[in-house]
Amino acid sequence: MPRTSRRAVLAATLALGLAAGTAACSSDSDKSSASGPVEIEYWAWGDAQPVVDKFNATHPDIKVKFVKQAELTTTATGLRNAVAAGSGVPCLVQNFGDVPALLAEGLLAEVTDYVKPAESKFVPAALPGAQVQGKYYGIPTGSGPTFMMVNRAVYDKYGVPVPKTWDDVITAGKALKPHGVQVMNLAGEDPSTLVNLIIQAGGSWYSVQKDAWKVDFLSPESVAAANILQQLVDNNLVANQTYQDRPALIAYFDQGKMASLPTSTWQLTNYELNFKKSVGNWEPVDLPQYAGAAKFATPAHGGALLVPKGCAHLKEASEVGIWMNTTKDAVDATFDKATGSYAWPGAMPDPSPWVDSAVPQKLFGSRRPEAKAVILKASRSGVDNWLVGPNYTGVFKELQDQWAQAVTKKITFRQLLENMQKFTVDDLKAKGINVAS
Amino acid sequence: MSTTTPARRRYDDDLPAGHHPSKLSRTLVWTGLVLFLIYSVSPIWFLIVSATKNQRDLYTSNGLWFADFHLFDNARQLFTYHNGIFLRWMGNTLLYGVVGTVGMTVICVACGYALAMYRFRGRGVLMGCIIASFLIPGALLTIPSFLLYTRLHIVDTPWAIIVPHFFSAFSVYLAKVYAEGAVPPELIEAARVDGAGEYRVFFTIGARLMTTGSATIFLLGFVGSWNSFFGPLVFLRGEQKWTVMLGLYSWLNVKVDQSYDLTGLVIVGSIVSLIPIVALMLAMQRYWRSGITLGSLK
Repeated sequence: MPRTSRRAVLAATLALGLAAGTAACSSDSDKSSASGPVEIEYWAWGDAQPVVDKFNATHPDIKVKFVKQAELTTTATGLRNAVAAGSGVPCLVQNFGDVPALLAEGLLAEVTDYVKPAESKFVPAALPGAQVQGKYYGIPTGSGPTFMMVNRAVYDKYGVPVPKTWDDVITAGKALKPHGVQVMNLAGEDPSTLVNLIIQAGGSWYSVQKDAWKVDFLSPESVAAANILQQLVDNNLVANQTYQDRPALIAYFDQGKMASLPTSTWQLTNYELNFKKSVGNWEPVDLPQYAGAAKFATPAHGGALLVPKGCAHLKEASEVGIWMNTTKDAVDATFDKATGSYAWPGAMPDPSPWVDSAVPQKLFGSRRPEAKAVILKASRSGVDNWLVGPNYTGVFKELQDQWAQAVTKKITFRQLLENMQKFTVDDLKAKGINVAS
Repeated sequence: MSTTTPARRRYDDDLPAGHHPSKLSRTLVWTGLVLFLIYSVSPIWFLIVSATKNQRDLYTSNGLWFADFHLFDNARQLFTYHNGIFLRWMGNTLLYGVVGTVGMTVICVACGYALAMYRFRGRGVLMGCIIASFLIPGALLTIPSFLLYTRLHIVDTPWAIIVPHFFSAFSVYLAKVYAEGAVPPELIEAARVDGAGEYRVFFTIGARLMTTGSATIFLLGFVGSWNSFFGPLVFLRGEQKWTVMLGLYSWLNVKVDQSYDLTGLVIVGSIVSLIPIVALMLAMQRYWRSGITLGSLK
């Protein structure tokens, strides 16, 4: 190698080292020179840039910096690392779990003082999801409305009435089965159907008694939900198509072999985009109810925009979060050109201005106009008594295992509840948490 | 293959004289080879076929055969989606890959050369440490690395990806083994006698004789860096700094909780992201060829 190029190599190596050094210095000086508007870092895996831009344009004293994350799991890992390292902690993070469990992990800061005065701006059902024992550890975001879509062409073809109660679903399943059609799908990895049924019944597995957690997996609400699922599974009325293999799932839904699908607004566009044969055959209907239920109810367990521990500007972070979830400006800014829809304003008392855009044009064919009433009714009737304990992350993993066994008839749903009761109580005790007997 | 034409080389010609494999063993070997070929080629075939489909056909048509042709639409969408963020990811990956791998090659080749050519105290221990470090799974070092980089203030900067890539125990080992075979100590001795300093000896003689080895180290390092996922995932925040693998991963995950499904873009993106690696492989072939001839001339 000639002398000059040898120097070049040495110089380049040196320059790299120096640049690494200066990069390290510059990030230091950025922090100390923080004057002017307070900067709030916001982590989310969805595209929140337009919302952030709108906020920054209308609020001169706070500047939100959106840092896009890859997806849910990595956001969680990133936050855990940042909180453990005690530096680079963001002030707002898109929700990736239940608030009590995240609080027990030491990830969240208390923001009661800033959220409590703004409670009236939220729909009441959205509030419990951001609380633990009456204190706020995040900004309520609410949940999407739950309703059902049925393949009306299939129901009509076999002369089966569209179900109004869960008992009707079982009856419809029995009528459809001889034709090779399954009434619903219960994915082997996703126990949310069980959880949603219990929330709909107004039940909860955890509750607080004085200073102890009370665990009750065998409450009347849980048993009622388990009974419905047991009948569906025992009579072979449901499929166990996994969500992991999306092409197979979509093709299966599209074929007309599965007639009803509890769903929410955010999934509709995707179905319209991917269904080939069944577009236009579907009909939006009310979520089936428990026979003899006192009032119409849909499960509406809300989430929270998380405010992590270590955030230096709790007041400003809360202000940003409340604005994002309760103002028309913020919801309008979520408009997605690709799908022509807005993020569902789950925390807003009146979501009606955004309902129409949430319904795709062709999926429901001539029955599209019915969707607005169905969605608004679901949204108004949301109930949330659901409280999760501090060990829910581990409990949920166990629940997934038990669920997979129950839907494949290895155990009964009653056994699932009994096993979960024991597992949860043992786990809480092992963690040194008070359990009320 | 026809065996009746006498002018053509027969399969048996390559075997030792008097060796006639049985029909059964031949069939087994051929079946094995064909199965292996299918196994290796079908994912690429699937990728090529899928890249030409639109989103709906991707899910509803036969995975191994063509439907309507939408390749150009898909490519246009890939390069324009989200203000062309994909190009930015490609650029980032190229930058991290080239800077990191060039640095790594220089450091590791020099290190391997030194270990092979010089006798110094602690050499055996050092070599032992290098080999022992193969045994430590990279994932185990994530948390300590994260805390270390936080102290160094390089988390969320490209340096968190580039600097760790400079140091590769396996490349040092490879360079050492290669240097032992490729650099004759007599040549080094002769250069010293002629008055060359150690740096000059390394750059003008050692490094040149190690070209093929260095090329291998560079290529393996570059491919590793191109596909690296875990580092960027943990240390980089914000899509402007992401690598192409991380970006495609985030697109693939969009469908899980949003209504818009980007699987089609992920597939076209995967093909496009293969191009630099394939180009590099083709461009660097001559180094191996020259390396092999070098050996035969000696």
